[in-house]
Amino acid sequence: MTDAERALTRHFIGYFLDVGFMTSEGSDGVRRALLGAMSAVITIGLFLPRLMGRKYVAIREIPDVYHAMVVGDTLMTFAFAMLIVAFAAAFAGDSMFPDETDFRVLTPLPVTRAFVFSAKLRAVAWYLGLAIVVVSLALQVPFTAISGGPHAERTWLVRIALYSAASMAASLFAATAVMAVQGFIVMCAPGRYLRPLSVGARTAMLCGVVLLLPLAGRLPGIARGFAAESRYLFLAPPAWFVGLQRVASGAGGAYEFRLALVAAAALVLAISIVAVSYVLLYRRFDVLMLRQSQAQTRREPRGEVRLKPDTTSGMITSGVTDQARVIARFAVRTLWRSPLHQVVFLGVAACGVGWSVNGLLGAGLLNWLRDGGVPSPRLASAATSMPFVLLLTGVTGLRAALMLPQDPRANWIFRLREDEEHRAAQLDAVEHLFMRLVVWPVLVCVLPLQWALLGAGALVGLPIAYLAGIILVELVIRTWRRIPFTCSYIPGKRNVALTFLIALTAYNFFTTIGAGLTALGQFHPSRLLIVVGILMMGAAVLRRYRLRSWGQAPLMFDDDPPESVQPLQLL
Amino acid sequence: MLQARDLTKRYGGFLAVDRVNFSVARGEILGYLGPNGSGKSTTVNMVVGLLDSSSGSISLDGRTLGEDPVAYKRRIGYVPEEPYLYTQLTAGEYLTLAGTLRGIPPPLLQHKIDRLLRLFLLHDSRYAAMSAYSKGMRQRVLLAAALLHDPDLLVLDEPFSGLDVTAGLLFRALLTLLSAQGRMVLFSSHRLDVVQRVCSRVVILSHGRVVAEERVRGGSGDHTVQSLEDVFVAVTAPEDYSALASEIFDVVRLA
Repeated sequence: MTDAERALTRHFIGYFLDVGFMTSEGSDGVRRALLGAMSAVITIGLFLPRLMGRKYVAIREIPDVYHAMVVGDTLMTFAFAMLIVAFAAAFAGDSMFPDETDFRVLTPLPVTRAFVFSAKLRAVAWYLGLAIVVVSLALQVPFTAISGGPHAERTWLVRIALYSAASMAASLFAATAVMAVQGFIVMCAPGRYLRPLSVGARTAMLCGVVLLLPLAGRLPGIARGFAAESRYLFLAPPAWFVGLQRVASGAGGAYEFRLALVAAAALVLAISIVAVSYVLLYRRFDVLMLRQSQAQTRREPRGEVRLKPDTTSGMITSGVTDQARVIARFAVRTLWRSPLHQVVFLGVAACGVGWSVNGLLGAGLLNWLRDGGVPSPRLASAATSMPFVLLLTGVTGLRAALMLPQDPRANWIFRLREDEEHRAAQLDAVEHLFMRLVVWPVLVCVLPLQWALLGAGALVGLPIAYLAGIILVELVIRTWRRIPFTCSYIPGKRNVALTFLIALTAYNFFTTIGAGLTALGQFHPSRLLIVVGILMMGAAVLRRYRLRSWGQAPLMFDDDPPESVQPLQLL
Repeated sequence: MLQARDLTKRYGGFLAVDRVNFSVARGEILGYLGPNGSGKSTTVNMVVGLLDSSSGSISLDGRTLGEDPVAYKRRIGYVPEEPYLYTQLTAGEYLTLAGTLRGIPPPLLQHKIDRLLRLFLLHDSRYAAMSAYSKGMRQRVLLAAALLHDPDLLVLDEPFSGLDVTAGLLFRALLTLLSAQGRMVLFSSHRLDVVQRVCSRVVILSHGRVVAEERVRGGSGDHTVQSLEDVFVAVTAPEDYSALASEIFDVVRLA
């Protein structure tokens, strides 16, 4: 490989981990977080012997139980490997294909198109290959070590090779499936929709991975489907590759062979779509890359001046309500178009959804759906606590997203308008955002499920969850002094362990108290009014406290460095 | 000599550039003018190899772009209109990437980068990612990248946008020096005053076609800034700007 090839490949690998508009410190923070996550996976892999060892010692002499457990745990480890690699691929998004920046920057240089494409492919191979190998080995080497026994099919070394190879094939499928989606969009999306579709797909895939993570932990429970030769396992991609591994081990029958065939076909299909996308992109690089800007140019007839209602004009002429509305609209549109902000907001919110769904499944939701009847107390409890989990994660995610800047140098438009008269009205937009993007959607989405499970009891929980949501929002925006996305951001001001501890405490406190109050209202309707009254009072006090100082201090457009003097907030 | 012959670019039924002919001799700075949408940037994109022409040819010293694109691009430097850069990189990292792709040996490249960063007043910001740079700073990085390999032909698409007065003066002096040293410069711009001061000849484009070609300095066809503007307006802009301005002012005054 020449120096030029090496330089461009290395550059592309760095580009996969770039988060766009963040500062270099912020980007470094994200990279460190990703490397930390990879390290965590390796650590979990190293802990596997401790987590599973005792279980395998207990059942190693019982062949049927042993084999069922090995299959179940293999399914789980494959699923985790696939999800982690899919996350890495989704994070890189459409940058795994040569994009418009590559076209505009590299094409005028004395390098051929083949040079650029081969460097990009090499970078993709390094980036995904490293993730696939590290994750697969980190999970499979310890797992095969502890799951050995007198009834194991092969020797340890052969099993390591077979399990790791199948896990790598599964991870490769996950990565290429993600790439195939992005490739399909790059090839087929009309110019003006290319960016939003690509961003939307990336966000959806990242959130999907987060949502599926808790479910992967439940896969050992469906391992008996292998023995029963269940057709449903054909819907679970990790099961295809477990079939492949069992066929390769010589332990599979006709059922496993069919699963293995599906695995091979899926892998070939995903790789083919990626290959075709690359080839078509290579052949029509200039046409496809200039498509977006041409679409934008052609949207307006040339030479015609068309005046559209300007959303920012409200800031110049309007009263207090318009100030809040125009800033809320600015924030919603930014959130809609910015991939990183979407990922932060929806990713954290998806953790809540995943956690809640996991809780419902663990409490027997599927059995209840199948058998009907009165839900178990555990299931009712999981349904009761669901809105509180979603409120907490949704508010946390939105807060984190609103704090990240979108081109902070463009904030001059808000700085010019920063004055005491309009400040409070501008900050009101933040409250509206929390209510409209988190609190109300959570209540609307949860109500049908709660209604099905709890009947009229769901209506008892509704005002309590609403008031809890208001209290949470009031607490979060108590000292808020930023217009969304306009203030620079210094990451990592607080110790990560402390942040984690605060989040854990908040989760336990909020969900336990919220679910407890709801249960109290359900079982003792007479006390419902007291509970609601107390919550209303709490919300009113917090709101009054906030509004007393709301907008008195100047808005923040530059994040305080950690060592700077902090206000005591005595008011 | 850079030569464009019957250069044409068609997007479906839309003719963006229509049989354009021009040439840039050694030591010459050719001003390439035209209103928005006239096909200026499309021509520049074809000259630097970003776009394939629908018909016609571009040649540098007799060898066409299609014959050996890599050898052709090795001889050109390009400053685009929009500062397309990998903004997650620092200026030094970007120049290292560009220089390595151009095949400059590493010790020479590092020496050149170090000197250029100082001369373009970017040395103090050398550890900051370019995402934090102003437009003028990014423009200076692009210019440094375009000059890094001592090109025979410099293609500049609105190079003065975002540059402050001192950087603009430096840029102009540099262009004059480059042409005096026998380099060819294709200079696409809206800035008639700069074009008048820097260029020896101008080509004016309208609706994809060359509508005027004039000498700016020397010879019988000399033009002052005012006369160049008059020529430009006469050949490209039949629109009545006073009427448009008063219409805009009417909208501004709406209560």
